[in-house]
Amino acid sequence: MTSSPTPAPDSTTWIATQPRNRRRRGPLARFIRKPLGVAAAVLLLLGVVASFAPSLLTSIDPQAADFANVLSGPTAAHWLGTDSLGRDILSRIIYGTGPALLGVLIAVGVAALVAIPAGLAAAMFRPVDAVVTRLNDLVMSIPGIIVLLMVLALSGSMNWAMVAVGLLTAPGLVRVVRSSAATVTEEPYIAAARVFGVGKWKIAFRHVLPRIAGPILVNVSLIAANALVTAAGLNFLGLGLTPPTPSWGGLVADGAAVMNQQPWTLVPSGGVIAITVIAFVLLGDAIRDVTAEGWTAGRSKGASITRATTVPATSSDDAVIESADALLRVRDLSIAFPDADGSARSVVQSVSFDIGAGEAVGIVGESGCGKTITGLGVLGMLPGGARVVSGSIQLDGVELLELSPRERAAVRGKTIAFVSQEPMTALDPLFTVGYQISQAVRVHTGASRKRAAARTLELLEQVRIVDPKRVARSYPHEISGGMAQRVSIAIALAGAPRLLIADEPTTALDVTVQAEIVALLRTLQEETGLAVMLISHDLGVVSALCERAVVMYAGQAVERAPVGELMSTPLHPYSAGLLSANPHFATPGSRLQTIPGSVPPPDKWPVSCHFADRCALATEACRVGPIPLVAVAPGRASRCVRVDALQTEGVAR
Amino acid sequence: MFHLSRGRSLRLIAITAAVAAAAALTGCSSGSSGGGLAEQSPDTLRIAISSPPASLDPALAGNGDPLQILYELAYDPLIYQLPDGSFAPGLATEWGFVGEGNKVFDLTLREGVTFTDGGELTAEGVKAYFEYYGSVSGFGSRVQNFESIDVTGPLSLRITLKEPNPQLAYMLTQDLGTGNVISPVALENVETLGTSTAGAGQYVLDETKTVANQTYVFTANPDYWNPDAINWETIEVKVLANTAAALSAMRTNQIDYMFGSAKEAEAAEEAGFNVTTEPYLFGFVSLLDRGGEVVPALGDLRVRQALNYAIDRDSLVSGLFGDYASPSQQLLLPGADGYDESLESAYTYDPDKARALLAEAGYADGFTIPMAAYNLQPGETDVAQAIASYWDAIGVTTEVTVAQTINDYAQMILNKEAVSTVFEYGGQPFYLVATQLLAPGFFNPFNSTDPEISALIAEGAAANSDDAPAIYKELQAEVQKEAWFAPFASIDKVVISRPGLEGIQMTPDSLNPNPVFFSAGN
Amino acid sequence: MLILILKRVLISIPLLFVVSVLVFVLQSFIPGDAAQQIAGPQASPEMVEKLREALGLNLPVWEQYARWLGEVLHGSLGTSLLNGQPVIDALNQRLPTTLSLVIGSTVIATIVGVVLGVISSRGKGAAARFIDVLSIAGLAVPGFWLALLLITVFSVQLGIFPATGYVAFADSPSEWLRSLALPVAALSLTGVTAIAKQTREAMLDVQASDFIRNLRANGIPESAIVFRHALRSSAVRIVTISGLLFIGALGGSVVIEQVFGLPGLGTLAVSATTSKDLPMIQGIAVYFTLIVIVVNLATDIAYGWINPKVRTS
Repeated sequence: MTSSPTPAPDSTTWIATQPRNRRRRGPLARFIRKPLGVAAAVLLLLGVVASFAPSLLTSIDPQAADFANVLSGPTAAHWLGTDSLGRDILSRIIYGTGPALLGVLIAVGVAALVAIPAGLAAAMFRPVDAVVTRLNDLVMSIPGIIVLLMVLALSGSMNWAMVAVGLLTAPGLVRVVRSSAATVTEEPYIAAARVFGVGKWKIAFRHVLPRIAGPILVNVSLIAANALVTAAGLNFLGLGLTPPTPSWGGLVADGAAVMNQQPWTLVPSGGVIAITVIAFVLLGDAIRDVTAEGWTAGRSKGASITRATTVPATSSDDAVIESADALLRVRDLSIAFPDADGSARSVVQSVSFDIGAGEAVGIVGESGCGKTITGLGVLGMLPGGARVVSGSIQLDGVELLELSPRERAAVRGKTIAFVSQEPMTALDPLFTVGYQISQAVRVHTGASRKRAAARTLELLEQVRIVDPKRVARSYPHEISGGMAQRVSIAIALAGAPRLLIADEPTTALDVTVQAEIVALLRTLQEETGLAVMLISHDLGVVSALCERAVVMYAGQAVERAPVGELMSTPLHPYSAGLLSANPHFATPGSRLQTIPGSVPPPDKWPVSCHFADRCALATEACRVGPIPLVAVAPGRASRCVRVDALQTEGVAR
Repeated sequence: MFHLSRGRSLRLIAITAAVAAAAALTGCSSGSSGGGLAEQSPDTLRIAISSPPASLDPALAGNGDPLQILYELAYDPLIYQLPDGSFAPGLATEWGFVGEGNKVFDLTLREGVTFTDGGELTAEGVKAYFEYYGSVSGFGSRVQNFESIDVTGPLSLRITLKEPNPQLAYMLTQDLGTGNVISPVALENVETLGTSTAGAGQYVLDETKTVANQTYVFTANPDYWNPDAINWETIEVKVLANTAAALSAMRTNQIDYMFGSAKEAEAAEEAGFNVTTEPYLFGFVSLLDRGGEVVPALGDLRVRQALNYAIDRDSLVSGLFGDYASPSQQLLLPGADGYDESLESAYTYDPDKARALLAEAGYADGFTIPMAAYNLQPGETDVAQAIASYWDAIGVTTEVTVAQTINDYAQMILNKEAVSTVFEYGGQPFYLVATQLLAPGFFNPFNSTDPEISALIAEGAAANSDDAPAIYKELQAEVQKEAWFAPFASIDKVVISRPGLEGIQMTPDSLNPNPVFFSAGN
Repeated sequence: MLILILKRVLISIPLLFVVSVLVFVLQSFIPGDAAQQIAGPQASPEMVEKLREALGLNLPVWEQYARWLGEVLHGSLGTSLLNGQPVIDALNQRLPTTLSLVIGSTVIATIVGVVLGVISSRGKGAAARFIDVLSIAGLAVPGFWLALLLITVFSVQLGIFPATGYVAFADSPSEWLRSLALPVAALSLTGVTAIAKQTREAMLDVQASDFIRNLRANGIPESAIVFRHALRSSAVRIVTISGLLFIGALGGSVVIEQVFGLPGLGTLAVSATTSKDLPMIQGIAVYFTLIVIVVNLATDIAYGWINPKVRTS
C-alpha cells in the first residue's frame, strides 16, 4: 500500500484497466453470506425434521393429556404451555408441522407444475398465449373459497384442498413466468440459439427458465405463504384437519376457545404460522438475490480504491474567464456520487463556464461525460444522492449553492427552465397538453384559471403551433414528437425564464423536425432575450444555435471556445475527434472517422488526462498527473498538453 | 442531543408491538374488565345459542338447550313445565291418564286460542298436528306409539297408546316439544314452517330482521291468550358457535343470556355475570359395537370392562370440568329415579387391571377403536380426546374423528364407521333414557339386545311411579355389568346471564330454562 | 370505452356458466346429500328416501342442472333445501354484510396503503424498510388470528367495539360503523401492506420518469408533483391491486365473518357446503362470480378514467 498522494504512473494504469479481482463464488457460498436467508433456511430445515421425525425434537406425546396441568402457560416442563387437555402445545406444534408443510408443498408443487410450462409456452408460442391468457382470466374469476369449501366437503382431505389452492393460485405465477420469459426471449443470445436451430422447449427449459428463476422463486414463496395461511384458516374453521390431529390452524381455534381463561395459548399458535410465513418470504428473497448475483457476478462492481477518483486539487480551472456580467457563472463545479464504501466518486470535476444574458452556450460531449449532470446541478436537481462537492453557481450574482432547497425550487421555472431530450416521455400522459401548460402558468404567474387558459394558447402560438385550441385539448399520445417538444418548450416558457437549459432537445427527433426546433429556439432567443444552455452531443446542433461552446469529456471541461473557432481549429484532440465524427462536417466522399473506444465509467477515470487512452497524440507526459485547463488563445482554453502537436499534426483529419 | 438511528427505532417499534400483543393476550387473564356491566334492558332479551337449527319447523326440532329455545318462544305447548318442574296448563287445560297401565290419555283444549297465522286451536287441528309430527319428526316414534287419536269433542281428544308411556304428559311439555302445536293453516303448506313461525306462543318471528342460521328476532305476539305473561317486546337469538366468543359478546353488552361450560364459568363470574349451574348431563362413552361385529374385541365383556377401568374419572373431571362436574358411572344424574349410589365404585381407575383383562381376552397387544365425536354440547370432542389418551395408555388405539355437522356425526354412527362415541345426555326420567339409549335406533345402531335388559325396560314402562325406581336400579346395575357404556361424569349445565335478568331457575326436573319465564326484575 | 365494457360483460356470461357447471359437477361428487341433513339423525331410511325424491335429489346430475338453469332463466335461484327459503332472499339478506365488510376493507386498505406508500416513497431507507417489514407482517399475520387479538384488546379489555354481530346501516349508521370496525381492520391488514408496497414502488418508478423531472425542473410545486402527477400515474397499479384485494377479501371474509359472527355470505358458504344445500351453494357461487365480474369491470372503468389512452382506444 502506497501512501503517496499521487500514485505512480504504472499503478494508475493498473487502476484504470484492471477490473477488480473478484473470484466468482458458488451459489451456496453466496447464499451463506445472507444471514436472514440462512436463518429462514435453518428454520424451515427444522420444520422438515419436525415433519419426518418429530420425536427428534420433542419427547412429549402430542396427544398425552395431563389433567393436572391444563392451560398452564409456559413452564419449564411445557415451554409453550399446555392446552385445555393439558397437552404440550410445543409438541402439538411440532407434530402439526408435517401436515402444514406437506400442504404447502402440494400447493406449491401443483402451482409450479401447472404454471411454469404454461407460462413458458405462452411466452414462446403465440397461439398458446391466447389460450393460456383466457384460461388464466377464467380461473382468476372463479370464487376460489367456494371451490375450496366444496373440495373439502367432497374429499374431507386437506391434501385435495391444497391441490385446489395450487390450481387457484397458479394464474398469478403463470403471469409472472410469461412476462419474465417474454423479456428474456428477446435477448440476443436466445435469438442466436434459435438461429442455430435449438428446439424451442430446449431453449425454454435450458436457457430461459434459469434466467427467470428469481421472479419465479419470489412468487413461489408468496404462494407458499398464502397456502400456509389458507390451510391454517380452513383448519381454524374446523375443516380439513380435525382434532385430535394437531394442526396449526386448529391450535389457534383451541386458543380461541379458551381465550377467556388462558389467552397465552393464542401466542404460540399464531406465532408459528407467522414465523413460517416470514421464513418462506425471506428464503424466497435470499434465493432470488443469489440467482440474480449469479447472472451479474461476472461484471465488475468497480475498483475499491478511492484515491484515484477523488477530486484532484490541482485540476482547478485557472483559465481566463470570459465575461464579467454573466447571467450564469459556474466556477470549479465538482459533483460526486456516494460510493458503496461511503467515499465520493466524482462525475463532474471543476467545470467552469459563463452564460451571458441572451447568450446561447453549448455543452458538448459524448454521453457519460457529465453534461446532463452539470445541467441538473445548475437546476439543483441532482439525482440519487449526488451532490455538489465544491465550486460555485451564481445566477445574476446570487450564489445558488447557498440557497435553501425551497429557494432553489423557486428559481426553477421562473428564472431557469428546462427542456429534456425525449418529448414523448417529457409530458405527463394522463393530462391534456393545455392542462400541463396552464398548470405551469398558474404556478409561476398566479393567474386565474381563465387567464391561464388564454396564456396557454398564447404560448402554444409562440412555439409556432398551428391549431393551439385543438392541441391544448389533446393528450400527449395524440400529438407528434415534434409537437410534443414544442409543448415542452411552451411549458418551459410559462414562467418567462431568463435561462433555458435544453438537454439534447432535438436528439430524439427526425432531421427536418430537428431543424425546426433549433430554428424555434433561435427565434425565441431573439424574441425574448432568453439565454440558452444547450446540452448536446451534436456539434452541428450547437453550431446552429450557440455562440460559444464548452466541450466536456469524462467529467471535465476539456475545451472552451467560440463555436466558430472551435469548428475551424479545435484545440483539444477530443474536440477534433468529435468534429471529425460528425456527419454534418464530413467531407463528402470520405469515410467518417470515429473516436476509438468509449467514455470510461467514472471509476476508471485516471488522475491524469482522461482522454489519453483514446488519444492518438497521447504521450507519457499525458499520463503523469492532472492536466490543467489553460488559456491557449484569446477567449479559448484547452486541457491538453499536446496542443502544439495537435495544431501541427492535426488529428486524423 | 440524543436520537436513535432509524434502524434501531424501527426495531424498537417492532419489539414494542410484539410485547404489546403478548401483553394484551396474557393481560386479560388477570381479569381487569373495564368498568361495571350494563344492566339487563327491560325491553329486549338477547340470547346466544351455539348452533342453529336446520329448520324452524317444531316437528323437526331436537330436544334440550340450546336447540329448543326458538320453538319455546313461538309455539305454546299443550302443557307447560314450570321452572320448579311442575306442570301447568298451556294450550290444554286438563289432561291425564284414564285408568291403570299408562295407556289411555285424555286432553281438553283451551277455548278461543288463535295461532299467529290466523288459524284456530281445535281438536281436529291438534290431531292433524300429531299426524304430521309422527310422519316427519326424528322423534316420530313417540307418536307412532299412538294406537289412535280420537276427537271426542271440538276441544277434546283421547289418545290410546300401543305401549305404556308413563311420561306422556312430560312429552307434551315444551321440554320434549311433542306438544308444540302448529297452526292447522300452516299444516296445509308445511314448506313455510322452515323460515316462519305459526304457533300460538308468546312471540312471533320477525322474518324481515331474521337472518337464517345467524340471528332470529322475535316480537311479542299481540294476540296471545295470556298477554300478562309476556315480559319482553323483543327477543333476539343469536348464533355464536364459540362459547368464548359468546362470553366476549356478553362483555360488550351484545348478549344477555348464554350457555357456557366450565371453560367460561369462572371468567364470567369474575366479570360480574350471574352464573347458574345444576347437574344436567350425564356423560358417557357408548361402546356401540357390543356384539363385536366390526371390532371383534368389543364383543368380549372383559375388553369392555377393561376400557371402563382404564379411565381416571377423577382426573378427567377435574381437568376438563373443574368444579362443574362430578365423576359418575351411571346413565343418570344423582337423585333421578334409578340412581344407585352403590354403583359408583364399580369401575375404579385401575390401568393394571385393565391391561390384565385385555391380556386375558387375548388383546395384550391392543387393538383399534374408531370413535366419533361432535360438539353438540361444548367440550364433547375434548372428552373424546381425553378418553383416547387413557385408552392409548393401556394399548388400545383410539381413532377419534370429529364431525363437522351433526349430520356427518349421525352418518358415521349409522354407517358403523365409528363403533364408539362420546355423548353427553340430558338428565331425564329413566324411562326416556332407556327407550332412547338402550332400544335399537340412533343410540344403538348395532341393535344390540340383551333379554334381561329388554325385560326390565318393559317392566319399568308399565310400572307406577312408586315401583319404577327399584326396577330402574336393577336395570342400571345390569347395564353397568354388561359394560355397554363407559359413563364418566354428571356434568353441570352452566348458564351465564346479565345482572338484572331474573327467572333463570333450574331444578333436577326442569333443566332447560324457558326464556318466556325470564324478566328484567321488578 | 363503452365497447370495452360491453365486451367484458359478454365475456362474463360464459364465465358464469362455467362456474355454475363446475359447482354442480363438484357437488355431485360430495357424498351424502341434504335429504339426510333435513330428516335428522334419527330419521328412517325410507323417510330420507321420500325426502330425496321430493327434493329432486334422486335425479341425474345433468337433469338437476337443467332444472336449476330453468329456474335461473325465470329469475330465481331456487329455494334452500334445508328450510325452503328462496335462495335469492337468503343471499340478498346477507349481501349487505359481506359487501360492507369487503368494500370497507378494500377502501381502508387502499387509503391507508396509499398514504403509507406515498410517505415511504418520499422518505429515506428507514421508511422503505418499515414498509418492507410491514408487508411481511401483512403476509405473516393470519387475519383470523389478528381478529382474535383485536377482540381481546378492543372488545373484551377496552370495550370500545362490539365483539360480534352486525348492525344494518339502515338501523343505525354509527352502530353499523362500530360493528364493522374490527372485522374490517382484521381483513384489511394484508391489503394495507400490499397497497403500501405497490404504491411505494410505483411512486419510485414514476419519480424516475422524465416527465416528473421536467415538472420539477420547471418549477411545479412538489405537492402537485406528488399528489397530482406521480400519484395519478401510480394509480393504475394501485387500482389493479385494489381489485385483486377486493377479490381476495371476498375469500378472506369467510373466516372473518365466522370469527365475528357476522351474518354474511361467507358464513352462509360454510354452512351451505357442510350441509350440502346445493341450491344455496350454487347461488353463492353465482353471487361471488358476479361480484368478481363487477369488480373487474369497475377496475377496467377505473383504468379508463385514469388513463386517456385506454379511454380513447
